[in-house]
Amino acid sequence: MNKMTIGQRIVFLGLLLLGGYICLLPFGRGPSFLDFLKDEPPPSPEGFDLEGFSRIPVLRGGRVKPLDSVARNTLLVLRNKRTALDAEEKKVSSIDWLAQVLFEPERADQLKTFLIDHDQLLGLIGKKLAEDGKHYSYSQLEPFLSQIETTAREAGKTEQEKRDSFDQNVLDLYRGLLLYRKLKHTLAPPPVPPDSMESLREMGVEQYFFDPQNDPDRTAEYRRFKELTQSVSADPAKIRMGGPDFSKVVFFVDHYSRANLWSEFFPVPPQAGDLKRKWLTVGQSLVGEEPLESSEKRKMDPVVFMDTLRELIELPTDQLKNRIASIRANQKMNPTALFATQYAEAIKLRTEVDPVLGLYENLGIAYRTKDFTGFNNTVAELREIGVERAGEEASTLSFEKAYNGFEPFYRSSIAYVFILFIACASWLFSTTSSSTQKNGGTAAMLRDSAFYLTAIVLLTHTFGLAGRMYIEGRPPVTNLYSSALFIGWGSVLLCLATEKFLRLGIASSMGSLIGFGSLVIAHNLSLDSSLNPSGDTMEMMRAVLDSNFWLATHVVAITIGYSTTFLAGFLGIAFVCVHLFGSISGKKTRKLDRTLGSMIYGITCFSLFFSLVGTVLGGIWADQSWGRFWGWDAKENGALLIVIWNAILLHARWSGIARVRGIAAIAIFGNVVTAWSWFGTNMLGVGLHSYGFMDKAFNPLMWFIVSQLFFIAVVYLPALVTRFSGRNNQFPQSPTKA
Amino acid sequence: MILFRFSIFAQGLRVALTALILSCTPSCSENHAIEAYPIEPEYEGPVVAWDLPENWAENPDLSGPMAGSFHIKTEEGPKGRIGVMPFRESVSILEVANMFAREIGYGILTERSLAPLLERKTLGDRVFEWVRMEERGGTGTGRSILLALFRQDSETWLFPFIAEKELVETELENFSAFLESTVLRPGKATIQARPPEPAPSPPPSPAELEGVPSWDVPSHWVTGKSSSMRLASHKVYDEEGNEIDFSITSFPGDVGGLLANVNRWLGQIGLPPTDQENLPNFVSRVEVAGLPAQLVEASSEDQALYAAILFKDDRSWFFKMTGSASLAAKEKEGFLHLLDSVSFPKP
Amino acid sequence: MSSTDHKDSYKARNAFFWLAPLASVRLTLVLLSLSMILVFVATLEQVRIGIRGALSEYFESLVGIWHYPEQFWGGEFLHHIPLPIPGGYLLGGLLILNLVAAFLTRFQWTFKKVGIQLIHLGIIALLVGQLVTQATQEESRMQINKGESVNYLERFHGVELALIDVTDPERETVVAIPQELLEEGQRLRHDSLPFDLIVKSFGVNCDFNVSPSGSTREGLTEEVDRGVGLTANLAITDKEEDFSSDAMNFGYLVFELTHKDGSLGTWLSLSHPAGNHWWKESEKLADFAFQPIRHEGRLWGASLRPKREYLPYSIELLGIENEFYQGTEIPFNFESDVVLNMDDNQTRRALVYMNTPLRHDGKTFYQYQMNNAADYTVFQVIRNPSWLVPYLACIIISIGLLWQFLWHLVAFLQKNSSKSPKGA
Repeated sequence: MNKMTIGQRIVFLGLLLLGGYICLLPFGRGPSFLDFLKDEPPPSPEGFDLEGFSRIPVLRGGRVKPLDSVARNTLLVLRNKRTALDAEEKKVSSIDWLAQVLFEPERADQLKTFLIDHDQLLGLIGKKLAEDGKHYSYSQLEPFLSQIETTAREAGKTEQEKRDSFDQNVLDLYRGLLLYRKLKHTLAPPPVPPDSMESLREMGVEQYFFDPQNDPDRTAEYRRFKELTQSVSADPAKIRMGGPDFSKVVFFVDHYSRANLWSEFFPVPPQAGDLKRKWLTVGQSLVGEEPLESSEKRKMDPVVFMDTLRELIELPTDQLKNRIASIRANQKMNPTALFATQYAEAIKLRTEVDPVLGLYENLGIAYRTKDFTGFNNTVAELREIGVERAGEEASTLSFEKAYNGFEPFYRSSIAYVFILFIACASWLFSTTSSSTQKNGGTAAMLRDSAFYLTAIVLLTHTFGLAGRMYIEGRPPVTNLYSSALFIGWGSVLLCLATEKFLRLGIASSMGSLIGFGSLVIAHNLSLDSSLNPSGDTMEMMRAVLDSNFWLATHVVAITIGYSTTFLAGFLGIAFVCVHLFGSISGKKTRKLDRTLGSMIYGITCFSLFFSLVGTVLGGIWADQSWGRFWGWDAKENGALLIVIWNAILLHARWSGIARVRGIAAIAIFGNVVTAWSWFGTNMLGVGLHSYGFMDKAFNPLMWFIVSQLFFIAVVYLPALVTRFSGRNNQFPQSPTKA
Repeated sequence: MILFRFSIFAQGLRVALTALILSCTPSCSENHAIEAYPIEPEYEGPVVAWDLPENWAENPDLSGPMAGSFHIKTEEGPKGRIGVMPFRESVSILEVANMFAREIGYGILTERSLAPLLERKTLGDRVFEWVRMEERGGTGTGRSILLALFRQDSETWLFPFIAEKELVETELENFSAFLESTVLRPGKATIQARPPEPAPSPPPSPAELEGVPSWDVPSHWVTGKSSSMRLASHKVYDEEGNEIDFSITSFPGDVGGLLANVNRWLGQIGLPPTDQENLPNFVSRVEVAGLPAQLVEASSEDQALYAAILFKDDRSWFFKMTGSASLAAKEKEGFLHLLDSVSFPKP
Repeated sequence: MSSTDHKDSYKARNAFFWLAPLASVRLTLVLLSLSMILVFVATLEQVRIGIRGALSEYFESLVGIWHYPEQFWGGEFLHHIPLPIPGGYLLGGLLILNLVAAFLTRFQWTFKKVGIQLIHLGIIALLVGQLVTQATQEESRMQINKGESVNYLERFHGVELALIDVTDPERETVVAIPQELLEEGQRLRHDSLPFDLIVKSFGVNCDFNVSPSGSTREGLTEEVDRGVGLTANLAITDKEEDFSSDAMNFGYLVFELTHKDGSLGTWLSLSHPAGNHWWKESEKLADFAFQPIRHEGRLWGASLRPKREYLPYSIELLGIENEFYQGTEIPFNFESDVVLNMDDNQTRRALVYMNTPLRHDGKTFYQYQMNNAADYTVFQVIRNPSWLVPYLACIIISIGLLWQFLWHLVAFLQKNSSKSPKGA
């Protein structure tokens, strides 16, 4: 560094600045690291405060999150991107899209929300990829809904392992359409089908429904329903078979309960005094939750139901609550009593229309009438109520919003490519330098900048992981997606440390390669519909995994084991490249070979340590939760394979059986073992750990294995050549010890 | 110095390891053996067991209400029939005797006509009611029926012994020994056995019976089998395949009282039992043969029940209609009409 | 180290010189490579034969035979070649021998190497522990309905014929005949049994169906002339044991009872894989839970059931809790609230949930299954006498790793302080 020329210094600084910019700062007017530091911008009176709107807390997938996450994650499911397109294929931001879906569905239906790129599937809807593109709006798909549904049902009958790509695509599309429709109806229960209107008129419920001509909003309908329930609550004698008021109540409880199924997230925050802190859908907020599946209603005894319900309604409120709790705890096999508790709750306990429902209605009206102030004020009010009622759970909302925008892993992956280029350039310069003796300084400068840039990217990558940990309240690795993030992070960290002592540009390049590769894998995992059906990579953990201690120790150690084994393997590949290059250019690579050999050795020591510790910790966890230390489960066996393979490498080196080339070959095969253990075992679909069956990854995995075998073949190629040409072995003999 | 100690440690370790390996090698063969061990009682069913006399053998086709069924091995092959029948409720000896009496030509027995046939017999520490009947009438195969009845708590155990007169005579001792050997213990779980429907016999004409009422039956009701316990039995069908069953039965005593009977019936049509407080929901007053009686009405989703209970001269009379709810509703009128028509002969 | 010391230790090592071939690193490498193949093949085979099948074929055997999977590339030809794969007991045993031999002949007790020795010692302990576990561990289940209490365990695998004398109201006597003795044609007797038992046929899995009454039964149940087999007119066909994890293996046994006067009859018994209480769901087959056999004034019940073990204590289920994250199907809690009733009238309340089992009397009760609607819980119960070994091994390994790490760290720091660090 000291000997840099001025020109080199300028390039050095320029590269660092560029890297830092990629890592931290905004692209154009987009989000940046500064968003975490700034307060959110004040709403402008000349526009909708979508910024505030995106921070309204809701519950989806078991977790309280801002609407921003809901918008991004659903778009990720629907079109593998975090934005939508309008009719002219111009980008529409996710939150803008969500606002339209919720409040102006007719307009949202025109937006190109769905991605269809399977030619057979396009044939189903009469489109061609070349002419019509791959982006479609709901209104374009609407005429084909029934066809898509029947085809998807047919595909669904095939076992998951036997589905072909058409089956998978049509299922994904069908699920996407369902998701979209659920999203549309989350705040507005689906209307009654027009053909049943006749019978509703006879029943006398028609005038209760929301009438857009005369009613300000849907809360008018809700209030009418509540008046009805209150009249029944005041006079329990009305509860009898065929009683006019009561049959209306029955109709509406049924109607709103059905609406619960058409709800993609829970917009109503928990009510004060609810110990279980349950979030509610619109329907649940009106009539509570169905205690059993609706189909169980058929098993009810109507006479006993009426009697039970009447008896419940006659109780004073406090006693009623206790009685409901006791029935729900003790009469789980009695649908009659259970459904009576729901009706009693709807009639006597849920007497008020939750103000949140009214606020969402106001929001919709303001949005449709372009009343900016009204919209912005309501957003503020909703956020206040939401945060207040959600309590602690809403504390990470603003952070999550900024985090979503920042996209640390996207930034990191771009920066890794950048580093890879710089590192490769440094090699290029160093080879020319040896012949011309001129550019040694440039090469060193490039290596230095690659090193420092790695440090900067690692900051962003680390921040990304830390952000997830903060939002989830979990250790870094919780699912396959985050294991990919962490494997990349671990490798890069180790490369940085290696590069600090051996500034060869090799560790930097391999680190950035692994970093980039793992982030690409992670991105593809987040798009996989079977692994990530909700589009949220921060999903909840199953009960058996719900232990931060073991997640933090066993899972992290195993994942570091993966990443270090990969790193050793990639250094093996670097050895192949260096060597191949050397034999082509006729240069002596003896010293570099030896250095690479000891790097592989050192990293394998690390990797044996972590995989052994991780596996043993896993055994202890298994002993704690399943009662056996070792059960020969597929994933356990995968971890064991890595341990054995690393042990083989080390013993082969210690005993002198394998020299540098052998070590490199073993290390490269370590990639195959690790890839098998990481992905292959999940594909088997057996065992306790099979938390994600992925058929899509099968072909990439096979290609990866083939490529590794190719490298192993290449590593032995020079040896074969020398053997046949009778030359002496040009490989260094590494000192051997027991 | 420390290293030296280490080598001692190492020596010790080696010895320990060798010992460990040596001790590990055997002791890997598991031995499987029949094990016998006592446990706390788990079995909740009734315990019925016996010691079979040498020349008796079990009949294989044990079915229905029988807990045991045996024959006597003779030179001419298996002969005779001995049974074990548990009853859930307490049944009178007259009732039981009437199940068999007609078969061998006794007609319907009454307390009075039974008395000379009845004796009490003590076997071991148990007292049995003991009825012996010999075949009357033309066929003259000379069969003899020996009924032994034992009561314990609310259970009744019946041991019928049907065989040729001589065989009964010669096996009397074995039969007594058999009775004495029996272990009879009611279980916590209900006994599956129902009161038996004995061998087919011609429906008794009401006139034959002493103190039996008469009644009018709607003409479209199909007459079914009747027996000593089931005085009348009718079925009604409709085009949709629905079916209801009507019966008149009579039992001595109050058969457990109103609540027990109502609960039993509720159970039959799949409703949960009720309690004394809620009993009035199902029961109303009605008049049968000029006497006060209870009318029971209940219906589940698809089943309905209409019944009248009349208590007269220490006997319970049950008039019961049960089956498809829709059809029962239609036939309710016929049922009430039938109740109106019931009349007892003047003593 | 003085030269005499060196000589002594060399002599000591020399005492085991004959072990040298066993201690070679090449052997280690071969064994490790073979274990890679074993573990990989056995993992693949789990798809076909389930985890238990793979266990018995590969891990708990000396040699397993593997066929290349038919559905893989080239499978239609390669499938037919049987490949012997060295089994777990063979490789495990040889690895232990190899390690121990290396210990005895080669390893040096120097400060530098202590870490390595300890790690290998720990690995020996892990291997031995796993072998012992594999041979001695018992896995059972315990199902408890809410409000009831249970004092026995049922094995997951393996059945027994239980003959229970229930005549005495104070005490029942169980005579249990384990599956291993139920060999066709075998005549079994025991002091507690007043009759002899002849095994007519036995199998661990079968298909059964009720043939129309009146039709004659053929095959395995032809001779059955007593009990449910007769009244329900059951016909059965033998089936291979299913090793998959959700297997339903219905064991069957046709047996005849005889005593000095001749035959008492021939019965059929079926075992229900989820416990014989499930038979009670079917009216016709209900008696498979308890088929009455009366003999000499005593009532016996026969049932072929999962092997049972009675405990000197009982567990009562007070309540269960099964919660899901809202709006998802991801459970976050399975919890059973139980009371342990010990024989000295002491009681102990316990909560059993994920990662928190109940440990008592050398057994561990894990939350295994739960039915929220029917209000019952199922525990997996494990007795593993060598459960401590892995923990000890872990401690030894950790010390070894720590030692080795510190040794290198110190060496590295010393090196760095003596020399300035190398630049690029």
